[in-house]
Amino acid sequence: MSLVENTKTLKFAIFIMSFLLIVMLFVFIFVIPGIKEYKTKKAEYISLQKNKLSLEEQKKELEKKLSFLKKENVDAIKSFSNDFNQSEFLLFSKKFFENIKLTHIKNQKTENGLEIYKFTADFNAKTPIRFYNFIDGLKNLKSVVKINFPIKLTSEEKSIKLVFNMSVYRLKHKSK
Amino acid sequence: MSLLKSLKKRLVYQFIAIVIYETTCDIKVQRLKNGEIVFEEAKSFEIESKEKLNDTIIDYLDSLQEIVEQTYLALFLNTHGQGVVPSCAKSVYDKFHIDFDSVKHVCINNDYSIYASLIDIKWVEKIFDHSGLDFVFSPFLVLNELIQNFQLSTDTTLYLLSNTNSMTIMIFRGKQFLYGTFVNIAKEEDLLDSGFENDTFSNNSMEDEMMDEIDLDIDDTEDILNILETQSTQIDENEEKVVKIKNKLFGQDLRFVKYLDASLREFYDSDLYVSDFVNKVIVFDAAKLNVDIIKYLEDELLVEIEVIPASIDKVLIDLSKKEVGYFA
Amino acid sequence: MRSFIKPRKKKLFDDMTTMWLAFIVLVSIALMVFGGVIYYKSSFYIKMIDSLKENNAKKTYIVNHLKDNISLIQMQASLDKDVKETNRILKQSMKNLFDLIPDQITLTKVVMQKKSLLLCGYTNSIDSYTLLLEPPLKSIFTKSIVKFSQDGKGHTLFESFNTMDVLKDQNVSR
Repeated sequence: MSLVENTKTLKFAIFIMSFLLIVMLFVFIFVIPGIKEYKTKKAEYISLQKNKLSLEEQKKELEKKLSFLKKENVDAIKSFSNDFNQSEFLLFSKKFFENIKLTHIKNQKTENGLEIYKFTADFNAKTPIRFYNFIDGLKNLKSVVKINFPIKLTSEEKSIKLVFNMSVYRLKHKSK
Repeated sequence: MSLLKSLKKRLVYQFIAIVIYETTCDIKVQRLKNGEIVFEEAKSFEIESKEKLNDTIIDYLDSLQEIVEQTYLALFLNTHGQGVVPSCAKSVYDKFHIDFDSVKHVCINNDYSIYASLIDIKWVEKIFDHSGLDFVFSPFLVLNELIQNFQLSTDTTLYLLSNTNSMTIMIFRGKQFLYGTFVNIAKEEDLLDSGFENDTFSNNSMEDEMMDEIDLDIDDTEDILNILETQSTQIDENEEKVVKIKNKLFGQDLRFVKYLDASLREFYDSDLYVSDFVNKVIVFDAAKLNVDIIKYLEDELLVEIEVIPASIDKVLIDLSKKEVGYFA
Repeated sequence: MRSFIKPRKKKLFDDMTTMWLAFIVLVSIALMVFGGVIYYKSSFYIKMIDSLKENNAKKTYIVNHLKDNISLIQMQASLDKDVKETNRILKQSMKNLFDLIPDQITLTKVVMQKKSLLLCGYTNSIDSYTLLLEPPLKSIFTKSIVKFSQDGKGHTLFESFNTMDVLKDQNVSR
């Protein structure tokens, strides 16, 4: 019966259409976003893993470097961390000079936490050689002391008057 | 459940009623969608034998079933080995000499039960082997369905379903079932057992022999009255009332009357049935009965006979719908 | 049931419909399952990603901290070196200067600046200055101005102001 055939053909056509529709729908709703998400997440994961490894390497290297530097510069670090003991300094200066006058000018602070204490030193020395020795001796001081220009030498009766500026460096830091 | 019902209605249902006669087969189709009839057709096919459907019928049924998935084929069972018993209990079957195990029975209203021989049912299923069959309805069920529309009076009423080749009788007193029988009136066979005396009806001529005419005169009428009525006292009175009737009843019409007589005799005589006098007869006519029969019977039985046209296939379809739960 | 036989079972859908429906449903389920599996696998990565991000942030912080410490130490080291070097250069310059002064000249005042030098002193004769002191001064400094005056004692007072534009590398004389 052609009625039956027509119905069957129509039904068949409807089924094929709905099948294709449903498959496309599901692919677009479930499969494609799922695969996308999977790919992106996997890529993200891999890059994060890479980051992790490189960070760890970095960390190791930096740790090595840090400990090396600490060892190498243990003296300098110590000098910076020491408080400036004025009386000690005066004692030290006494070895070379007389009439020692130390005037504190000001304190300065830099970004890295470096504190700079500025002084004016007023000494009397018998000979300039004393001054040389004084400067040499600065190396061995517990603090970091720098002599600044200008340096004024004036001849007095039996000695040379020395006036110069001094900067003492100090770093208070907490290291890991 | 109402959701299910409404869903069911949206489906297409197809109900097919099949009635097989001696040489024809009537098929009625009713197709419903959303509770509305979208297709209806009634066809009559010639058949060569009652035992085999011919190819046109098979093709027709196949084509119908191909269109609609939910198709129900209902058959009107008109085999010999079936009847009705005024109880649902097995013991009663024994009383009526019916082998309970070789019949299929259906209990109606816990009052009476209709039965049919398993062999007949199988035979009928085999006929529809190719097309398939969903329902096999007893003629008593069909008659019962027709009766449902009636106010069951307290009178003892004989309900009769008349078909082209069969007759179904059920006698009720009010709602109580008393007696029932089914006969194929296309044949004489059944009559032989009923003990009906052929002498009562005289065949006068050779030609008449062929036709099996009945020439009825007063004597015959009297005898018939004797057979049909239990109260002999009224005979004298009735004798005067009875007018000489010259009725000629032929072939099947005659058999109709004979079978009806035989059934009534069985009802009145047998101890198995509760006896009561039949006051009223209601005939559901599915086969365009000869008016003469009715007139004759009215006169002879002295009962009120009401004839109501009926259609068996419509009832079969209604029964199918009820079975399926399809409420239009 | 009032029929002598039971009705045949009816399929809700005809064969083709059933097959197609089953097929469609199966394919849909398969696709959904596939999608689900993919999401599940992604969720594995997502979990890892979160922990990795956290970890990496921590590590980055640590690394930066290390870098800071390192630069601090480096700064200290170089500053210390600078200071020592500056002091040394200063001492050397002074030494060189005083070595330059001949016996005939006596200094009364010296002002050393980074790029200039003021010498005040006295000598017996101007020539001592011009012959003995001036040439070396001139060779070191780019500009040399000198003022002479006499004092009551017969000494020639001089005031020599020397400047240089580019500080010559005096480390060489070490």
